Amino acid sequence: MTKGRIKRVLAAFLVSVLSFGAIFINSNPVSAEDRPEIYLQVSPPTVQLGELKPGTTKTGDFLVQNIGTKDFDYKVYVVPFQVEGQEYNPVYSANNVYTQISKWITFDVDKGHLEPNGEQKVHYSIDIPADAPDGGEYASIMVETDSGNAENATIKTVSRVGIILYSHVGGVTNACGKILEKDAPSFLTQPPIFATSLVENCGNVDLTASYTLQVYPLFSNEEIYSTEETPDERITLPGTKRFNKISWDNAPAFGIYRVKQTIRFADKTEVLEKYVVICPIWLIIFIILFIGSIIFWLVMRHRSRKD
Amino acid sequence: MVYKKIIAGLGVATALGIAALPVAGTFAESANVDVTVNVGATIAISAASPAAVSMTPGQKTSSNAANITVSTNSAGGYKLTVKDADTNTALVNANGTIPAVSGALEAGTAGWNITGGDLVNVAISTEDQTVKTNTNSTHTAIANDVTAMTYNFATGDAQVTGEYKDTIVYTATAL
Repeated sequence: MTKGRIKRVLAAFLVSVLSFGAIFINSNPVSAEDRPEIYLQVSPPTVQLGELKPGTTKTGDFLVQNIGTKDFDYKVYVVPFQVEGQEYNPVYSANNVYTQISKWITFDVDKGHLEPNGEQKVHYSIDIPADAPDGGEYASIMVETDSGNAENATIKTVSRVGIILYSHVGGVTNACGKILEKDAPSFLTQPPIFATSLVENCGNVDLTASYTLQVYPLFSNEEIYSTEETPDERITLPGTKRFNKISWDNAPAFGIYRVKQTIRFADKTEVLEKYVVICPIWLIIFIILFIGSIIFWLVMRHRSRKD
Repeated sequence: MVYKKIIAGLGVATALGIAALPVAGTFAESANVDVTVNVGATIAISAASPAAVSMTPGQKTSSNAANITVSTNSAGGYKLTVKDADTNTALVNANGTIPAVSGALEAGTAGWNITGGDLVNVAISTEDQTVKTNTNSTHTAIANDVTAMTYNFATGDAQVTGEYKDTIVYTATAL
């Protein structure tokens, strides 16, 4: 067999292998064995209740589902919801004027048992007292289950999900928001390209901040990345400051870009535009060495001419 | 000759593949039908317990990693927190305790803590502590995001024999 013929045979074999393999590339079956044994799911994870009228009752429901491979018992209860710090770490034990709703909520069932793939709809009622304070009210409905298979474990773990309820009692409400900071780093050694911001809710009801990131090449107005269609939205609670970071995770590893962050909060819109340089450290070192070697060569050449 | 047979074989396979493709429909009347699927927002959690740990007095060890799995299609992502299930953060036995202690543990001094996510050798608390924040920066559904947790233990030189246990709660909430 000649070399040419061998090459043609190998090429045909490669094509057939790739074609055969392509059948399986997009096949990604998830077997039941991949699912955890105790896997608790609820829907929805947040609820915007809107305005609560004092002296009335508001109702709603949510779904509890078992998406694991083992049955479990669960229980339902409600706790206050507040946050701590600019990173918005949840606090489920604060008792203040904004968490009174946690005392107004009752459930038609507060415990149950679910087989794998089973689900239960739970109904809740919110009895708003006539003297409810004006302004935002926030709570978390907790659904909790045991690990189910760890009675003899040193550390027994409990799985819990929180359904965050956002609402406000009508009356004297004040929607006040400030954009305190906005920034983007000018130089990065690696992706992602990102921008940060800090907003403050100075009112007594929750407000939603909306963040958009757009990235353009150095000499063009054509976007190469934009979150305009799906902006980041972050709820801010009364009396809190919230830090946010919006990023383009798959940004190229090298280049100069124009980055634009748009923040919409309360009735304000602020825009940050900045040039960002991305250059890996190894490339910086290489450029420095290259420039250094050129300078060294020029100096040596100058000296040798002098001699 | 062999080369010709290989080419012929590939040709037959290609022809069979084309023949297996769906054939275009015959001429017929058609009508547009709108199909709507409403996908609800969800959040899910699975908190696996580590295997039981066996120790002797004056020893230090860590458990095998136990996974905390979270899934959500919330656009903002989720936050994972951990706390003790009750007001006693120690591992409790009928005759003794192993207290929750932050930092590096030492064999001979009883203590236990957890490591995983943003927590490194952190003592469990009665208040929720953030283990992990996933802001879903890619704006896609988060499916089975795993955080591996390990539990670190040290026994005192005179640690009383018996089973020491505690229960902790992992909570996932949408951002």
